[in-house]
Amino acid sequence: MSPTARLAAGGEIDRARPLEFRFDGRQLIGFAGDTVASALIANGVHLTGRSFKLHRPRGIVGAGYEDSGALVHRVRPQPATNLLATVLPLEAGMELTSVNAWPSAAFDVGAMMQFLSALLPACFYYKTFMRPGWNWFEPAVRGLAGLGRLPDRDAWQPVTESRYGHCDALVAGGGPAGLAAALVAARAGARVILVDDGPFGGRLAGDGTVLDERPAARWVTGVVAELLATANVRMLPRSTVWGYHEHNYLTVVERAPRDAPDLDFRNWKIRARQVIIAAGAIERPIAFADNDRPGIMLASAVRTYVNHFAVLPGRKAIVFTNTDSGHAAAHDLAAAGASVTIVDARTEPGQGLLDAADARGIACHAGARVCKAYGSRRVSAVDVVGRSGEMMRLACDLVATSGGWNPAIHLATHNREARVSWSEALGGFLAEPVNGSFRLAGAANGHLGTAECLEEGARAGRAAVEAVGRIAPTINLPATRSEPTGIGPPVWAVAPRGKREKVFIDLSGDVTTADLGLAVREGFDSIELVKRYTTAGMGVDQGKTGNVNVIGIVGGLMNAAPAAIGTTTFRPPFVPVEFGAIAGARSGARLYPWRHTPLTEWHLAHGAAMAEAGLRWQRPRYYPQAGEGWLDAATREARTVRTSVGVYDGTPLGKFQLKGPGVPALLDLLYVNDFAALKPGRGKYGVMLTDDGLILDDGVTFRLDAARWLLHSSTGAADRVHQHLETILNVHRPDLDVSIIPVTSAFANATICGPRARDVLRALDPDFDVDGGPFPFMTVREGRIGGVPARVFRVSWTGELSYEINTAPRHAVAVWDRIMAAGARFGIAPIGSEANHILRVEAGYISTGHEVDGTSDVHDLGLGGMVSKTKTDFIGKRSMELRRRLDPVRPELVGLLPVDPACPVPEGAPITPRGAAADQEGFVSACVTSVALNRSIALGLLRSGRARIGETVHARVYGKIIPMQVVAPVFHDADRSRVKA
Amino acid sequence: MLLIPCPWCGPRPEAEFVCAGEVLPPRPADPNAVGDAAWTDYLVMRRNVRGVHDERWWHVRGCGSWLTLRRDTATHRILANDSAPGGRE
Amino acid sequence: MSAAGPPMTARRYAVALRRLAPRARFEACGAPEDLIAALHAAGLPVPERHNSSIGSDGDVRIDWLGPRRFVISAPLEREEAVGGALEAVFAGFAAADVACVTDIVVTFEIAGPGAADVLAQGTPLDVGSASFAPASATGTELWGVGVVVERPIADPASFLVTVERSYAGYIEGWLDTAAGSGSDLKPGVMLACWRG
Repeated sequence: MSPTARLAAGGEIDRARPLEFRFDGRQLIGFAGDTVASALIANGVHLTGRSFKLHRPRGIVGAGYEDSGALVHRVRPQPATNLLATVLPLEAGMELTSVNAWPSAAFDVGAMMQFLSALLPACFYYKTFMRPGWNWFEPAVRGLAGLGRLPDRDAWQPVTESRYGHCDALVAGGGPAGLAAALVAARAGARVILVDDGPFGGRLAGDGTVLDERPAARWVTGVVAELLATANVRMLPRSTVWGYHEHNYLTVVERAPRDAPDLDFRNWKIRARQVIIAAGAIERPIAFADNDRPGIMLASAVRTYVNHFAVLPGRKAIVFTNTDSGHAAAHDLAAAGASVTIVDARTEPGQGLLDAADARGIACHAGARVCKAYGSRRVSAVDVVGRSGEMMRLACDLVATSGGWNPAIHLATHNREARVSWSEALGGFLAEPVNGSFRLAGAANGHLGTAECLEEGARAGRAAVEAVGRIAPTINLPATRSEPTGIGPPVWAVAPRGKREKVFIDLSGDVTTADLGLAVREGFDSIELVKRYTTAGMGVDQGKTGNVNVIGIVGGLMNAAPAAIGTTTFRPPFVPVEFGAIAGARSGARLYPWRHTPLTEWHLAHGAAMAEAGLRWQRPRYYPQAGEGWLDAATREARTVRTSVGVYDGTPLGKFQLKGPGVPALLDLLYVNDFAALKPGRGKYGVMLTDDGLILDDGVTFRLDAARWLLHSSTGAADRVHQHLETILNVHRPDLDVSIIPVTSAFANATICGPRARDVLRALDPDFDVDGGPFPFMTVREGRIGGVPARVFRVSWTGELSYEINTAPRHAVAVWDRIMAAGARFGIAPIGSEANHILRVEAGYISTGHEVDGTSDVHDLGLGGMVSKTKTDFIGKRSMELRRRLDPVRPELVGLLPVDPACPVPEGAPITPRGAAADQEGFVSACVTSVALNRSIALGLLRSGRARIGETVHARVYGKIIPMQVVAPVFHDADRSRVKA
Repeated sequence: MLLIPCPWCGPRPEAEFVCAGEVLPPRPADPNAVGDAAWTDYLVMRRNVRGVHDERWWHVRGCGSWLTLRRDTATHRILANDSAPGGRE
Repeated sequence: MSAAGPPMTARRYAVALRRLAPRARFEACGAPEDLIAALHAAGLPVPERHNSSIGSDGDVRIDWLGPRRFVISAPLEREEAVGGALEAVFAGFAAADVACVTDIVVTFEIAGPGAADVLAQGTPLDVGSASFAPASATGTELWGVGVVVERPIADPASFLVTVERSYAGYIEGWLDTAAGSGSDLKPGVMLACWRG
């Protein structure tokens, strides 16, 4: 099939490069430079799909992102759906189908929905389908609604990059205003980014404008060449500014970047010192009955297809307009060979326009209106009501409508730094910046003439560069010819002649003028409510074409001026943006900043299963041997520690080096217990609260020498504790002279634990005495082990004799290997966090994230004895005392023994009175299979639990009730004799 | 993303900072001397305005400075930065 | 500086990525006047402006990264000598402190005309030559992680990125991906926490 609607000459397509493609099974041909939409029109295809709700035949309306729904599904080459045909570049071998139609747009089974339309008014799902209930109908209705379906397999995975950018001036839009602005800024030496998603030059690229007595394209080419050659200018073609955020932060999507052929998209996050919005204006349609028929388009789009793509969208055209630019579209069509009739809603369009039409052989009906369209898969005729009410039926295959121009103020209002006002002259909304960081220029600011656009663009460029402290050069703007830019009083929609006629005001969502009337009648008196009730402006085009018409009609219904109605809120994204483009390469291993210790490779080489252990640190969970599941491995590892010796990687533990005369006072404010008297070489377990009296973290702080302390935090709390310390020193007690150096990763920590730990440490050849007398519990020794500088802390979190051996990470693997060798004769095992969990539960040590859950205080956890009796203040003291005074009944830490010793209890399980479905009186914070007791044991927080030892309480899990005996919260080494051995 | 004027570094992206919340009255020097209601007010009452308020930021990934911004929460406009360059407040 | 591994080569951007051999590194913290006095006492110069670095004899470099923060680095073989000297000086200050952090960090070099394009994928900081002049050094964020970025005086066309060691594999994978892959380095392995 040959492209029947392609013009023989002209346009920006490459006739030497024909591209074959398929649409709904038909083999078609286009040219390089075509969009899918222009290629379809070239082949006489106007019907591209079915509408969202009513499955009415729909076609191409626009020529860019303003199009209200020419969506296609791409089967090949890269399966993807809901792609906008008007911006999708044509590629060789493409296979496309229509969306929301089965089996095809032309023969759509779902089209029967049209006959049900009486059942589907605005918000029908709250009305029509209420009996027996919406839930009953929903699956069927949802099955019929919606647009494209996601590809089942081989879905397109675009290669994307996300990056930041910086500039002095970002110019959004490369039409006459944007080019002039960019040229001034570029010549001033400013860093400029110029963004456009169409051809540079905007409408100048093909509308026959003359500059300096030559086609405007010549001027455009020269300016673009100069900008491209300027080092401080970055041109972003095929790109759209999709968000304008606070502090001049803009998001831009660049499609098919030429500098990176492997990329499909690049998402820019740009901080601009100054922003110039020269986004142009979007033509608004005039609505009338059945105005959604394929072949009814915006006049500006028709001009683009004729002039830029050399495609004639129709041979017998009606141009329904109230603007001078509509006449220009008629002339373009006539020049391309179409027979054209103008229906101008204005009674006096002006003699010049009438004469020009006459000279071209274009019939012009002034003061007339199109009131209804005919045709099903393509418009075939229109009814026109003439100046004195006479009715005409005119055959046609194309209707172009031009109802005026809406300045593209969307971006300007994204960051709430613009005042929006109604322009009576324009019949549209204008945005006025309320700060000096951006300005609008050209049609985006309501100035439609070429001369005004150029001048205002240059002025905006000058203001922008002066605002960033540069001197703006004077540039010579090209001479323009006068051009008609008149716009008549707005015609939002032509009223239907009967109740059954549908006048579509938002094609994306099948919203009609009747829906707007219904919304107003039902009392939705704000435009934001009308929008949500009817979904007008919520479809794929986000109201780019119909929004102002909606406001005008609602104003008419409410007897209010559009200025009083106001606009709905424009939000990013301005155009649809692929999620993948925003994410860039952030996926898989790059999703989160996982952290590793110097021993990770050793762990993996020894079969460790890794898991996150807080703050993105990856730690071994367990080291399974042949045939072992995780519980087998964890149990074996824990038993090895209880009977002999194990070693674990404690590197992620948070560490902060403190120095200064203010440290004792800081620690006394920080912890519930007394630290001021801590002697060099000794450590103390401390608990810190937030000022609301609840536990923030716990850990051991050592005094290394007279001047320095080393504070340990939990792995997962290191950042919180750091901020807590900083807050105290910068906000509450700036008088305390303390320096903090975070040193978490400065040390690798191999912790040996178990009754044989001392034997292993001794075998490592330490240059200090390791006996219990000279090196007691809660002390630190600095020295060398086997020649390697080391700092050894004697603390325990396992209920066994333990030594934390800290060395520089460069020695970590060697020291670890030596520990494994020295421990071999005791059967040493590396242990993971699962065994650690068993061991600490047996010993009754609390854990951040389990018992310390942000609601417990020190007394709750049985640590009340630690609380200083002498300090008048510490962080959290006042609140803890107040809370306990107001309600002495508190959850308290208890041990729990399931009556069935083999029964595990899920961690987090609620404890309720007798297991009833009632308010909980506590919860199980941890449950393990004890290696010391050979049974299931648990810790939990239970209301007034310490007074209830001996009682039986009940966990309730999914209706299953687990009885448990309340015991003291320690199952092993209750007198700590093993820890202190 | 906000652009925050750091007194030591100049304007910097928000990602380098941690917001430490609205500036509150100072923590009572002796909390025991404060009545229960006054203490709980200090703890939990926030102005949470739509409009101008003062808030603290910590330039944790930059220079480590603490700073106080006067910011309009509705527009994000930063009206003042009263912090001394650098040191602790 | 010597390379610890073979240079990575890339496709999308003209850039060479290397993990540098470790340098001795010391973190100094304290009141600004104490830190400046301590540097003078140690015979070390103070950079001329905030967020910049200055070189000294024996390939010692001083980075002024915050009002209360300097980083002093030196060749690894001088770790004990420089560390000992700093310890001795800082012992004379009540609240200013120094810590050896050699093993805390890994430094990557990103060199070549595409270096800024690679970094710009991870950091919101403007590292363009106008705003980030040679000798600049500052803390910022890179792919969600706190790092120090520097533009060395000796080679202003390149950048140094210093990251906490636990994140090194993650950052290395990102740098490689951002450069457009094509290198031997497989992003996502995220090992090599201690290498070189």
